[in-house]
Amino acid sequence: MAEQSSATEQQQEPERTVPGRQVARRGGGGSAADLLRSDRGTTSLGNAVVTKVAAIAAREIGGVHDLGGGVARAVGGVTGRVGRGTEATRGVSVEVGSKQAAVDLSLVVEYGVSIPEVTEAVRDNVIKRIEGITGLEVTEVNISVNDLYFPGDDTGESRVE
Amino acid sequence: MRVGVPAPSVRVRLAQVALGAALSVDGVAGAGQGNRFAAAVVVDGVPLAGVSVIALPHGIYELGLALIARPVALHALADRVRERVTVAAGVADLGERLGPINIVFEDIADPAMVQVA
Repeated sequence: MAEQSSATEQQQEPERTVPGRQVARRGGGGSAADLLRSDRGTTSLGNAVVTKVAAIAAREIGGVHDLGGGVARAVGGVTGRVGRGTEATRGVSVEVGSKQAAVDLSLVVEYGVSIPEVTEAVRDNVIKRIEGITGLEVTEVNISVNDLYFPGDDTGESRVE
Repeated sequence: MRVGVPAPSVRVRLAQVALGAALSVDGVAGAGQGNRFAAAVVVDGVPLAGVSVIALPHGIYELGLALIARPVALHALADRVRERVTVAAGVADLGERLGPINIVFEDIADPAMVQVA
Protein backbone atom coordinates (compact mmCIF):
# COMPACT_ATOMS: atom_id res chain seq x y z
CA MET A 1 0.00 0.00 0.00
CA ALA A 2 1.16 3.49 -0.62
CA GLU A 3 2.78 5.16 2.29
CA GLN A 4 1.81 8.72 2.72
CA SER A 5 4.85 10.83 3.32
CA SER A 6 4.47 13.84 5.53
CA ALA A 7 7.51 15.46 4.01
CA THR A 8 7.84 19.13 4.77
CA GLU A 9 10.12 21.61 3.10
CA GLN A 10 12.45 23.43 5.41
CA GLN A 11 13.45 26.86 4.29
CA GLN A 12 16.68 27.12 6.24
CA GLU A 13 17.98 23.58 5.99
CA PRO A 14 18.10 22.17 2.47
CA GLU A 15 16.99 18.77 3.63
CA ARG A 16 14.00 16.59 3.09
CA THR A 17 12.43 15.54 6.35
CA VAL A 18 10.56 12.28 6.61
CA PRO A 19 9.45 10.53 9.77
CA GLY A 20 12.65 9.59 11.55
CA ARG A 21 14.84 10.13 8.52
CA GLN A 22 16.35 12.85 6.43
CA VAL A 23 17.51 13.00 2.87
CA ALA A 24 20.27 15.53 2.48
CA ARG A 25 19.77 17.39 -0.76
CA ARG A 26 22.38 18.58 -3.11
CA GLY A 27 22.30 22.13 -4.28
CA GLY A 28 21.94 23.30 -7.85
CA GLY A 29 19.34 20.88 -9.02
CA GLY A 30 21.07 17.78 -7.74
CA SER A 31 22.12 16.10 -10.95
CA ALA A 32 24.42 13.76 -9.13
CA ALA A 33 25.26 12.75 -5.62
CA ASP A 34 28.86 12.83 -4.47
CA LEU A 35 29.19 9.61 -2.63
CA LEU A 36 32.79 8.95 -1.92
CA ARG A 37 35.81 11.15 -1.71
CA SER A 38 39.32 9.90 -1.38
CA ASP A 39 42.84 10.80 -2.42
CA ARG A 40 42.23 8.78 -5.54
CA GLY A 41 39.17 10.80 -6.57
CA THR A 42 35.45 11.05 -6.10
CA THR A 43 32.65 8.76 -7.16
CA SER A 44 29.35 10.36 -8.12
CA LEU A 45 26.01 9.07 -9.29
CA GLY A 46 23.60 10.79 -11.59
CA ASN A 47 19.94 10.82 -10.65
CA ALA A 48 19.28 8.71 -13.72
CA VAL A 49 21.22 5.89 -12.10
CA VAL A 50 18.94 5.66 -9.10
CA THR A 51 15.87 6.14 -11.29
CA LYS A 52 16.88 3.37 -13.63
CA VAL A 53 17.77 0.96 -10.84
CA ALA A 54 14.40 1.58 -9.20
CA ALA A 55 12.59 0.98 -12.47
CA ILE A 56 14.45 -2.23 -13.20
CA ALA A 57 13.91 -3.48 -9.65
CA ALA A 58 10.19 -2.78 -9.79
CA ARG A 59 9.80 -4.61 -13.09
CA GLU A 60 11.56 -7.64 -11.68
CA ILE A 61 8.57 -8.39 -9.46
CA GLY A 62 5.88 -10.68 -10.79
CA GLY A 63 2.49 -9.02 -10.98
CA VAL A 64 3.90 -5.67 -12.06
CA HIS A 65 2.69 -5.15 -15.61
CA ASP A 66 4.12 -1.72 -16.23
CA LEU A 67 5.26 1.49 -14.60
CA GLY A 68 3.39 4.75 -14.84
CA GLY A 69 -0.31 4.87 -15.38
CA GLY A 70 -2.99 6.75 -17.18
CA VAL A 71 -1.59 9.94 -18.61
CA ALA A 72 2.02 9.00 -17.93
CA ARG A 73 1.69 5.84 -20.00
CA ALA A 74 -0.07 7.63 -22.83
CA VAL A 75 2.52 10.40 -22.91
CA GLY A 76 5.31 7.89 -22.50
CA GLY A 77 4.04 5.94 -25.46
CA VAL A 78 4.13 9.04 -27.64
CA THR A 79 7.57 10.15 -26.48
CA GLY A 80 8.83 6.62 -26.98
CA ARG A 81 7.62 6.68 -30.57
CA VAL A 82 8.96 10.11 -31.48
CA GLY A 83 12.48 9.48 -30.39
CA ARG A 84 14.25 9.67 -27.08
CA GLY A 85 11.70 8.00 -24.91
CA THR A 86 11.53 7.69 -21.19
CA GLU A 87 9.94 4.28 -21.41
CA ALA A 88 12.33 2.62 -19.01
CA THR A 89 11.91 5.13 -16.21
CA ARG A 90 8.32 6.25 -16.69
CA GLY A 91 6.45 6.32 -13.40
CA VAL A 92 9.59 6.69 -11.30
CA SER A 93 10.71 9.80 -9.48
CA VAL A 94 13.61 9.92 -7.10
CA GLU A 95 15.19 12.35 -4.75
CA VAL A 96 18.85 11.67 -4.30
CA GLY A 97 21.00 13.06 -1.53
CA SER A 98 24.60 12.55 -0.60
CA LYS A 99 23.88 9.39 1.34
CA GLN A 100 20.20 8.67 0.99
CA ALA A 101 17.52 8.39 -1.63
CA ALA A 102 13.73 8.47 -1.64
CA VAL A 103 11.68 6.88 -4.40
CA ASP A 104 8.14 7.39 -5.69
CA LEU A 105 6.71 4.75 -7.99
CA SER A 106 3.51 4.48 -10.02
CA LEU A 107 2.57 0.96 -10.99
CA VAL A 108 0.16 -0.87 -13.22
CA VAL A 109 -0.57 -4.18 -11.57
CA GLU A 110 -2.01 -7.30 -13.17
CA TYR A 111 -5.59 -8.00 -12.22
CA GLY A 112 -5.91 -10.83 -9.71
CA VAL A 113 -2.68 -10.41 -7.79
CA SER A 114 -2.61 -9.23 -4.21
CA ILE A 115 -1.74 -5.56 -4.41
CA PRO A 116 -0.40 -5.39 -0.84
CA GLU A 117 1.89 -8.35 -1.52
CA VAL A 118 3.09 -7.01 -4.84
CA THR A 119 3.77 -3.53 -3.51
CA GLU A 120 5.62 -4.93 -0.51
CA ALA A 121 7.73 -7.11 -2.78
CA VAL A 122 8.43 -4.12 -5.03
CA ARG A 123 9.40 -2.00 -2.06
CA ASP A 124 11.76 -4.67 -0.71
CA ASN A 125 13.37 -5.24 -4.10
CA VAL A 126 13.80 -1.55 -4.86
CA ILE A 127 15.48 -1.00 -1.51
CA LYS A 128 17.70 -4.05 -1.94
CA ARG A 129 18.79 -3.11 -5.45
CA ILE A 130 19.41 0.57 -4.81
CA GLU A 131 21.31 -0.06 -1.61
CA GLY A 132 23.30 -2.88 -3.18
CA ILE A 133 24.18 -1.08 -6.39
CA THR A 134 24.59 2.51 -5.28
CA GLY A 135 25.37 2.25 -1.59
CA LEU A 136 22.69 4.85 -0.85
CA GLU A 137 20.32 4.28 2.02
CA VAL A 138 16.74 4.27 0.83
CA THR A 139 14.61 6.22 3.25
CA GLU A 140 11.25 5.61 1.65
CA VAL A 141 9.59 3.99 -1.32
CA ASN A 142 6.15 5.43 -1.94
CA ILE A 143 4.04 3.39 -4.31
CA SER A 144 0.81 4.26 -6.00
CA VAL A 145 -1.06 1.69 -8.04
CA ASN A 146 -2.60 3.70 -10.83
CA ASP A 147 -4.16 1.06 -12.98
CA LEU A 148 -4.93 -2.62 -13.35
CA TYR A 149 -3.97 -4.65 -16.35
CA PHE A 150 -6.40 -7.21 -17.75
CA PRO A 151 -5.18 -9.82 -20.22
CA GLY A 152 -6.54 -8.68 -23.53
CA ASP A 153 -6.11 -4.98 -22.82
CA ASP A 154 -3.40 -4.85 -25.45
CA THR A 155 -5.35 -6.59 -28.22
CA GLY A 156 -7.56 -3.62 -28.92
CA GLU A 157 -10.40 -5.94 -29.92
CA SER A 158 -13.85 -4.46 -29.69
CA ARG A 159 -16.48 -6.27 -27.67
CA VAL A 160 -19.17 -5.33 -30.12
CA GLU A 161 -19.46 -5.62 -33.88
CA MET B 1 62.17 18.69 -44.14
CA ARG B 2 59.64 16.26 -42.88
CA VAL B 3 56.37 17.68 -41.69
CA GLY B 4 54.36 15.27 -39.64
CA VAL B 5 51.37 15.26 -37.43
CA PRO B 6 52.31 16.67 -34.05
CA ALA B 7 52.43 14.10 -31.29
CA PRO B 8 49.38 14.18 -29.07
CA SER B 9 49.80 16.06 -25.85
CA VAL B 10 50.07 14.34 -22.49
CA ARG B 11 46.54 15.50 -21.78
CA VAL B 12 45.11 13.90 -24.91
CA ARG B 13 47.11 10.71 -24.46
CA LEU B 14 45.97 10.46 -20.87
CA ALA B 15 42.36 10.93 -21.93
CA GLN B 16 42.58 8.26 -24.60
CA VAL B 17 44.40 5.77 -22.41
CA ALA B 18 42.06 6.32 -19.46
CA LEU B 19 38.89 6.09 -21.50
CA GLY B 20 40.03 2.94 -23.23
CA ALA B 21 41.00 1.35 -19.94
CA ALA B 22 37.75 2.34 -18.25
CA LEU B 23 35.60 0.98 -21.06
CA SER B 24 37.40 -2.35 -20.88
CA VAL B 25 36.35 -2.95 -17.29
CA ASP B 26 33.65 -5.56 -16.85
CA GLY B 27 30.57 -3.75 -15.60
CA VAL B 28 31.13 -0.60 -17.64
CA ALA B 29 28.61 -0.45 -20.48
CA GLY B 30 29.83 2.70 -22.18
CA ALA B 31 30.89 6.29 -21.93
CA GLY B 32 28.51 8.96 -20.76
CA GLN B 33 28.07 12.46 -22.09
CA GLY B 34 30.25 14.10 -19.48
CA ASN B 35 28.01 17.15 -19.36
CA ARG B 36 29.03 17.84 -15.79
CA PHE B 37 32.63 18.29 -16.74
CA ALA B 38 33.96 21.79 -17.01
CA ALA B 39 36.22 20.98 -19.93
CA ALA B 40 36.20 18.52 -22.78
CA VAL B 41 39.13 16.87 -24.48
CA VAL B 42 38.96 17.54 -28.20
CA VAL B 43 40.88 15.33 -30.61
CA ASP B 44 40.97 16.37 -34.27
CA GLY B 45 38.01 18.63 -33.66
CA VAL B 46 35.91 15.91 -32.10
CA PRO B 47 35.27 15.95 -28.36
CA LEU B 48 36.05 12.71 -26.56
CA ALA B 49 32.81 11.80 -24.87
CA GLY B 50 32.95 10.83 -21.24
CA VAL B 51 36.39 12.04 -20.29
CA SER B 52 37.85 15.22 -18.91
CA VAL B 53 41.48 15.96 -18.14
CA ILE B 54 42.39 19.07 -16.21
CA ALA B 55 45.92 20.18 -15.43
CA LEU B 56 46.94 20.49 -11.80
CA PRO B 57 50.19 21.96 -10.50
CA HIS B 58 53.45 20.03 -10.92
CA GLY B 59 52.49 18.40 -14.21
CA ILE B 60 49.74 16.29 -12.74
CA TYR B 61 46.37 15.89 -14.41
CA GLU B 62 43.03 15.34 -12.75
CA LEU B 63 40.92 12.87 -14.65
CA GLY B 64 37.13 12.81 -14.93
CA LEU B 65 35.32 9.81 -16.33
CA ALA B 66 31.57 9.80 -17.06
CA LEU B 67 30.39 6.25 -17.46
CA ILE B 68 27.30 4.19 -18.06
CA ALA B 69 27.37 1.09 -15.94
CA ARG B 70 25.64 -2.22 -15.87
CA PRO B 71 23.56 -2.83 -12.74
CA VAL B 72 26.40 -3.90 -10.46
CA ALA B 73 27.79 -2.53 -7.19
CA LEU B 74 29.03 0.86 -8.29
CA HIS B 75 31.56 1.62 -5.55
CA ALA B 76 33.42 -1.59 -6.27
CA LEU B 77 33.17 -0.89 -9.97
CA ALA B 78 34.65 2.58 -9.47
CA ASP B 79 37.58 1.03 -7.62
CA ARG B 80 38.15 -1.44 -10.45
CA VAL B 81 38.04 1.38 -13.00
CA ARG B 82 40.61 3.38 -11.02
CA GLU B 83 42.88 0.36 -10.79
CA ARG B 84 42.64 -0.39 -14.50
CA VAL B 85 43.23 3.23 -15.46
CA THR B 86 46.20 3.49 -13.13
CA VAL B 87 47.78 0.38 -14.61
CA ALA B 88 47.10 1.52 -18.17
CA ALA B 89 48.59 4.93 -17.48
CA GLY B 90 51.68 3.27 -16.06
CA VAL B 91 52.07 1.09 -19.14
CA ALA B 92 51.75 4.18 -21.34
CA ASP B 93 54.43 5.89 -19.28
CA LEU B 94 51.91 8.38 -17.96
CA GLY B 95 51.68 7.08 -14.43
CA GLU B 96 53.62 9.99 -12.99
CA ARG B 97 51.18 12.45 -14.56
CA LEU B 98 48.02 10.83 -13.26
CA GLY B 99 46.28 12.57 -10.38
CA PRO B 100 42.86 11.95 -8.85
CA ILE B 101 40.37 9.99 -10.93
CA ASN B 102 36.84 11.31 -10.48
CA ILE B 103 34.15 8.97 -11.70
CA VAL B 104 30.55 9.91 -12.47
CA PHE B 105 28.11 7.15 -13.18
CA GLU B 106 25.59 8.92 -15.38
CA ASP B 107 23.22 6.10 -16.11
CA ILE B 108 22.59 2.40 -15.86
CA ALA B 109 22.33 0.25 -18.95
CA ASP B 110 18.95 -1.41 -18.95
CA PRO B 111 19.50 -5.20 -18.87
CA ALA B 112 16.74 -5.66 -21.47
CA MET B 113 18.49 -3.25 -23.82
CA VAL B 114 21.82 -4.97 -23.22
CA GLN B 115 20.33 -8.36 -24.10
CA VAL B 116 18.81 -6.98 -27.29
CA ALA B 117 22.11 -5.39 -28.24
